[in-house]
Amino acid sequence: MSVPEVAVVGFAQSPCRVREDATTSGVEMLVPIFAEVFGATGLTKSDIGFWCSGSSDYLAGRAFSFVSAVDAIGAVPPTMESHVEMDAAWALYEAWAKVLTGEAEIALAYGFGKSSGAELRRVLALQLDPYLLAPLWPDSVSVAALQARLGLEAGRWTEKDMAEVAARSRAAAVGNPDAQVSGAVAASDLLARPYVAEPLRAHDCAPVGDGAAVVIIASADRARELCERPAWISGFAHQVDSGSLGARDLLAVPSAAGAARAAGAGAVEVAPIEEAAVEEAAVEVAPIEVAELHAPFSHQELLLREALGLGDGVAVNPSGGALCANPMFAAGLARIGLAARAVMSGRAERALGHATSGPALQQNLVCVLSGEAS
Amino acid sequence: MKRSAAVLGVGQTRHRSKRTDVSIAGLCREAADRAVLDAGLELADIDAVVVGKAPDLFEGVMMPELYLADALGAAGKPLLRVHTAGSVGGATGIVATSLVQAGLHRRVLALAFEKQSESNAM
Repeated sequence: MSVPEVAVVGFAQSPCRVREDATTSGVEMLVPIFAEVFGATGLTKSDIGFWCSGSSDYLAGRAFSFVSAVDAIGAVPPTMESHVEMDAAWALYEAWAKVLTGEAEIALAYGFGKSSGAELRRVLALQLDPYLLAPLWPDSVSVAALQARLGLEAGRWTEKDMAEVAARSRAAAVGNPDAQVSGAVAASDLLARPYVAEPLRAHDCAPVGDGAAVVIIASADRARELCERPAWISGFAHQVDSGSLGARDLLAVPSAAGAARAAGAGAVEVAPIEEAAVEEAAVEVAPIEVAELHAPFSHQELLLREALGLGDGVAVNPSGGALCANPMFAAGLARIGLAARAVMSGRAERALGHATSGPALQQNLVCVLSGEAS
Repeated sequence: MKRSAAVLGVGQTRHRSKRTDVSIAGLCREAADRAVLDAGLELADIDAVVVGKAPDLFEGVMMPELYLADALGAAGKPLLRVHTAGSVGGATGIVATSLVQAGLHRRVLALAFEKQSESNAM
């Protein structure tokens, strides 16, 4: 079986900011980007066969919070709709599956997060084992700091390497009006600043900001009508690792490496069903030119580059990445959208979008996009 | 284009007002074990896991599927978390079915739970 052709045909994201004017329902951030993506594709709400969103009740601080976001769509007439309590990159995965079944020709995935609504690093502590870990309130920055410390002790990177990731990201973000943080800064100056959670300084951690993102995908015939140069999804896969921080090697990211393999991010494409992969394997394809990685901490970009097998020739995070804009539950989808935009604009022939979820890169997703249909 | 999908096995826990004898992971594993036994499979035979749960505040755990990955044998596999409010049980089955119909996976474990006694849910 060959991979049925599905392509990204549209993407929009809101500028990542601390938004006093936006509520936890996401509606104020979503309405403008729906208008933008519909304007660019010429589609209307009634063209969308399946909607899928990603957001979090804990971020909003109330149960069933995603229901309010449906106001941005309009609940009448009834729509085929679903929601994941995950970054919306996984909502796009569910939408992709829906298009592959043939039940929808055009699907829209959106994600939103008002990360500034509470103290994010403490909220995320509630993702840990509720009996043994969460009662100790190990916040998300401290958990990432443990991972960074392990890497320093193992000689995998230095604090200077980490600062250089941040400096490069901020310089890249100068050209990205949606970034929350940007600017020319020397790594040596960053290293003179105080620790937030040793060995992490402020530049090693994603800023806390509010934002939303939307991606539209379409089946082959519709994609060619809607977009001059669709970004064809040649591989899409995700995996999770153990949730027990003490049971997994925090310097290995097997779920990222596994997702990249399953998505054919290397030199060889694989078909989605394992048995078929044997016959389909060994199709040589163009190398990845652009990779948008969802690394909310500087050292995690270093871990992900290795896990995904990205060489020095790959342009990593030309947008500035999550270190410059990390709206929770939207930033992963935005990575795929930005990778797709690189293909749709002709800047890249093959690009990769990555998303992560959970403490210390526990869960990872890879989407490979190509300018040529398979 | 659409592949056929069938139910291979089902399992559910004993329903009680308070299951103080098991953790959240223990409760979910009980249902999963019964389903794979009914199907004549083992957890290792499962290609992907879909967890349905709404809302997180009922147990006081944010995105509990992350903590449940080990208990559900999901480590190293795709794990999706569905939350569609009151419809979540049915929606979990729909998402799992779509993954098979799309040709992405062969055997998917769909599991939905509530352990409301962990909090004052109502």
